[in-house]
Amino acid sequence: MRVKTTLFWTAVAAALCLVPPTALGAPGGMTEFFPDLDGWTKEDDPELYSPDNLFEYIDGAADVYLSYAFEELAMVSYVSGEKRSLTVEIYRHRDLRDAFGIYSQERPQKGNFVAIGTEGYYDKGVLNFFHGRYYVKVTGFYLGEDDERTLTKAAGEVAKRLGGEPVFPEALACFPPEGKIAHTECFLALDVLGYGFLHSAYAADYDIDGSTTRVFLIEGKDESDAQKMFDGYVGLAGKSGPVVVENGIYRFDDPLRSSGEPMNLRIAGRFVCGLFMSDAARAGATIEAIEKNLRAHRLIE
Amino acid sequence: MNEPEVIRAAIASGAYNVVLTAYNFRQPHAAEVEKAIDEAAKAGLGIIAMKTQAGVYWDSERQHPINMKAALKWVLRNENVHTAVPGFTTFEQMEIDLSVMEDSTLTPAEELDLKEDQQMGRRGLYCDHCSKCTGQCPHGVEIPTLVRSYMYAYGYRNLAAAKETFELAGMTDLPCAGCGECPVECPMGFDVKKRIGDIARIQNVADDFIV
Repeated sequence: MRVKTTLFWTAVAAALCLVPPTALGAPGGMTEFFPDLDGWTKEDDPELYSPDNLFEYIDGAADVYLSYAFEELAMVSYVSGEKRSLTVEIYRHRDLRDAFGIYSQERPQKGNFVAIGTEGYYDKGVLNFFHGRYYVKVTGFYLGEDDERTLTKAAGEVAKRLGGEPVFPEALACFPPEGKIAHTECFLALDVLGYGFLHSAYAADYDIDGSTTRVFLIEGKDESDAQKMFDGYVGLAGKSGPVVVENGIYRFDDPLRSSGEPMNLRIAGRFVCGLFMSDAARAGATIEAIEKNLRAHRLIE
Repeated sequence: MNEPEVIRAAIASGAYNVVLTAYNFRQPHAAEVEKAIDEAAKAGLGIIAMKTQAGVYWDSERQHPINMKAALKWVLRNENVHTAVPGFTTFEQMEIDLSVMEDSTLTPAEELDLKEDQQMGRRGLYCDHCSKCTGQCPHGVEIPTLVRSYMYAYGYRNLAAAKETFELAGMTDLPCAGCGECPVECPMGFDVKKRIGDIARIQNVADDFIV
């Protein structure tokens, strides 16, 4: 037990040294992220929520946040005058990938995107953004014509305090740009394609000859994890139909889907790339392009 | 923990047709919730149960799953519950939910599975912030803050937060080591003395290791 415990402390300390500063943010409480805003009064100290009681604040939505390794929520309300109010919620997740993931689950595909934090979007009464390991939601009530300006100002001040450079998860850069539909990139933490054994997938939608096709890039913890997921999916498919292999790409019908288009799947290092597409050559070209980018980014050899 | 109060307020208002309430086998006040549900049903309100899967795992490390079918059956065995909204994100979970629709009888084996927490002595990691430990220590140890520091270290793996939180407690010489049997009783069953002893070692982790 003593050896295990020592190894734990060493591993955690080493891991922390490898984590970029933007992923760490302020230690302990997140109080210093909440700015003073001219003309606004903070109602109280931050309300804090942990994974165990997040549902008390956001009810059933908590489950989704928890699936993205949610760690802590700090929330502060501001008031100005009798009715005007602002709420700033800062969700801290395990890392950049998880914060982007929960942000990507909630952002609209078409929206008023803003350069706050790493990326954000504004809609009446709402401005949400992600930055580093944080997902920030600013909500305003009775702001009238000042709505966008006020939310932008508040969100901007929070983003300044979070610090660090705007960075998207690196694997997203491996999706080829041609045909990609803007703002469809997302990260799915769990239960990819409805299978409990598939996890940690980046995805993006493509417009291919007028049809929307979703391309998946599953990231295993390591090559063994990726192989397990790959074998699990191929194995499941193989129980109910043929699996054709060509140039390392496995083509098969997903047994629990009736889309009519086969899955094209290939494993490369700790990544598994796939898309549903009848055109085998085109599917292969897409997979090749992604793997080329993975190599260029040194994410695979 | 205020579901009974809210349900009764909904009944008294006369303005609601349906109540959506958290209800599961792990609620410490499940008996009270059931009484309120009974009253609501008698008053003609529909009852939809949510949070039926009770966190899905016994432990916060998410290593020991709860028997999901049993958890859902436990809720539906209450005839005053008209439906439930367990949700699912995988085909497997969907099949479990559908199977309960076919047969919602809670078997003796399943009932035993729901007592696994007591059998295995499993406890969660995260403090509930109930503050019941405050004032229990005869030496005035700042327990909530130290347990919070423990949570940062062991739950979130955030050493920086753990150390800063530990220092907030302002206790460099903890009396725990020389103390006899710890009188602190935690409603969640945490071994408070052990946790404080474990996290106290963070004082010895040099700041150089913490970025």
